[in-house]
Amino acid sequence: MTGTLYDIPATYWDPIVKDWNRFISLDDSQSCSFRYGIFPMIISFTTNFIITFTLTVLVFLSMNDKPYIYASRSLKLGSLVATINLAISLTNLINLLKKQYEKLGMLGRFYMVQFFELNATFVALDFISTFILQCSQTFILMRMFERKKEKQVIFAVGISLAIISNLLWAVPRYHEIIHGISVKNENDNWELLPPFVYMFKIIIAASYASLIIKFIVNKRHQCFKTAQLTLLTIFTIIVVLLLPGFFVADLASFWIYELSELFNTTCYVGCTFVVWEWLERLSIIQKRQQAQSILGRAIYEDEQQNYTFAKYTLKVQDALTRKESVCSSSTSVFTRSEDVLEKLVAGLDSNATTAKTIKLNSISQSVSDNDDPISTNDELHELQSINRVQFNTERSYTDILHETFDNTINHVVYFSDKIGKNIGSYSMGSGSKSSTNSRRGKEQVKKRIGLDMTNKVYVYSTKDVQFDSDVDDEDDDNNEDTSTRDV
Amino acid sequence: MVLLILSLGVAVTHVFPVISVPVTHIKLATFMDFTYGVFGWCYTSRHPAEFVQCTKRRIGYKYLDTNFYGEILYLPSESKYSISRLLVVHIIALINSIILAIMIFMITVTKHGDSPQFILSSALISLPLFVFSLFSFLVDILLFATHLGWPGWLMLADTVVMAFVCSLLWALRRTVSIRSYETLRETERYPMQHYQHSVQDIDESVMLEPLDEPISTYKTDNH
Repeated sequence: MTGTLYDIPATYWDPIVKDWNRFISLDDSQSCSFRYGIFPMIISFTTNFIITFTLTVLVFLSMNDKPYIYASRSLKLGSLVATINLAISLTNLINLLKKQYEKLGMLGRFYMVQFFELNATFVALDFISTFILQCSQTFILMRMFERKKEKQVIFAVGISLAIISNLLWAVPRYHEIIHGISVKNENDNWELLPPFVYMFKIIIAASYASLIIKFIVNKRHQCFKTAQLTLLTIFTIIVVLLLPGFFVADLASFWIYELSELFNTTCYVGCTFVVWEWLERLSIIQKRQQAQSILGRAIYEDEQQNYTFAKYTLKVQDALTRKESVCSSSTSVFTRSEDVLEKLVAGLDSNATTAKTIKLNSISQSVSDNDDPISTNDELHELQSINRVQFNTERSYTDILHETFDNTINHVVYFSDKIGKNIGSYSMGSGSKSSTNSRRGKEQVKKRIGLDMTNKVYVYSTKDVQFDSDVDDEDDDNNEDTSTRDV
Repeated sequence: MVLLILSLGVAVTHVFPVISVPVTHIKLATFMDFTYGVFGWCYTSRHPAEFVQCTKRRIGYKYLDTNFYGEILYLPSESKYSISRLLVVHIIALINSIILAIMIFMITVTKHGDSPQFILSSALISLPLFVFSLFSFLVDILLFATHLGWPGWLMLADTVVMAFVCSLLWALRRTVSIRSYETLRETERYPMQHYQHSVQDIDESVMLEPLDEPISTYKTDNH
């Protein structure tokens, strides 16, 4: 007998059909509605992977390291880690589903959800990528604000928020992994932490979004200048609002909550890279406008408030003059010339400790000679405090940190100017010629110093310049010759 | 002045959730016969007679000790009761908003309005207030969803207002910073004098000329 099962006129038992229909008509997470099945999860996960992968490729293709070296490198690293994470997770997940199918003959979403919660590799890589991408967002915000103090505040606040949120996020996750049980099922204080951290992350994302939207509102004339930039600006707003939007969606539907971590990774990569690309294009327009204006880039008062070098010079100058006055008042402890000489040695020599000790010894001798030790000691202390040249003394860690940060900012500003120049030349259409220009310049220099044709040998005339007197002499000689001949 | 009004408004609106149900009759959220506040929740029984029974005043919801609904606590959302402990952010936000309002009052009235450091500190304090306002709203919406009462929705308005206040404060900091830069005080303008006054036997002939600093105008409304 040939044929299929369809040929047999048989139906399911009525109570079972009713029960099944009731089961699939329920609309919550426990039902068998397609929305809560495994296939939408697989589709969304794969889509996330593809989006993240594409964005990572774009990041590596379109981003230059300079001038914002930290932002670009952190974004590259973060997106790369996110892609690797999703790739590993996808492979593991397919394996998991295969085993589940072979063992049970069905595909349930329980193990899939559990995988994201209890897989140590996924949690660790997700932690790293999220943290790096949040740092990158901080650097992007630092780029948007041009003032030094605001950059410092954004750096401090942004990095500390990123550290706190990620640590708080990681602690319950690792607790889950170690104990093998979901925190949500426990009835102690642990269950308070995940929603708190979730909201904390939403707040950070909302702050990021509000800062970018404020920036767009401020620069609205530039943001909507061309059609392309308008589209990109709108896209930026949408992408930036995605994460806070997911919170609303999370409240509306339980389905998304389970996958929020996956969407988070893609959202972080997206809202970092899209904002970066938008800023790049916006900065081209800005630089062009600055190039057209008379004064160029705006300078802010806090860039000049410190007067570090001027203050240092003044201190040295002041020390010299004060020392002179001290010398004139106290009866010749040193002669002025010795003093100034010593001061110069102490100030100028980078290894001035020896000079200082010599001076200290000599002053202490003079103290023993002199009958007024207190006043001299005061003077000594004062002199020492003024003589303190920065490289002689051991600086505190906060000073070093502060200086490093200042230097970083200065480098960023310097490179931003440089890149602005390059972009300016690029926008003028001469960007592709820059390499040929530089080559030509090198050739010119080589030619000038005689390195272009090293194999050729030249015979130089020993007399390059002919003076009139020489010519006259020669003429005279010729005349004499002719005269002698005539004679 | 605008800053002062806005910050006072924010401080006042943060008071309402804190003094809600067990304290006064203001309702942070209403769901069926239950009313919710920061310090607890109340059940209004109607059938024999209208009778309101509330929990003790404490952070975090507990089951009500009654025979009728003793074992049940209904929340409008699927959240667990432990999340109600996060309602403590309302109190933190209130304290923060009062501090900010006092600081802005000092900026408006006293001479602190001229010091960039003070304005910077108040601007830094306004940042966590923005965060806490948003946090309060998120916790409320997570717990009570659409059953949220007007004090809860005021938190959303507060968040928007705080974003505005924050940007105003940072703009004020810029303005004051520029002003103080352009009219540098004597000690800053003539840094020599500080050292010279400390020395008693100063030779007047070696007094240095003060630095000639260029006074320039800077862009104020860049962002």
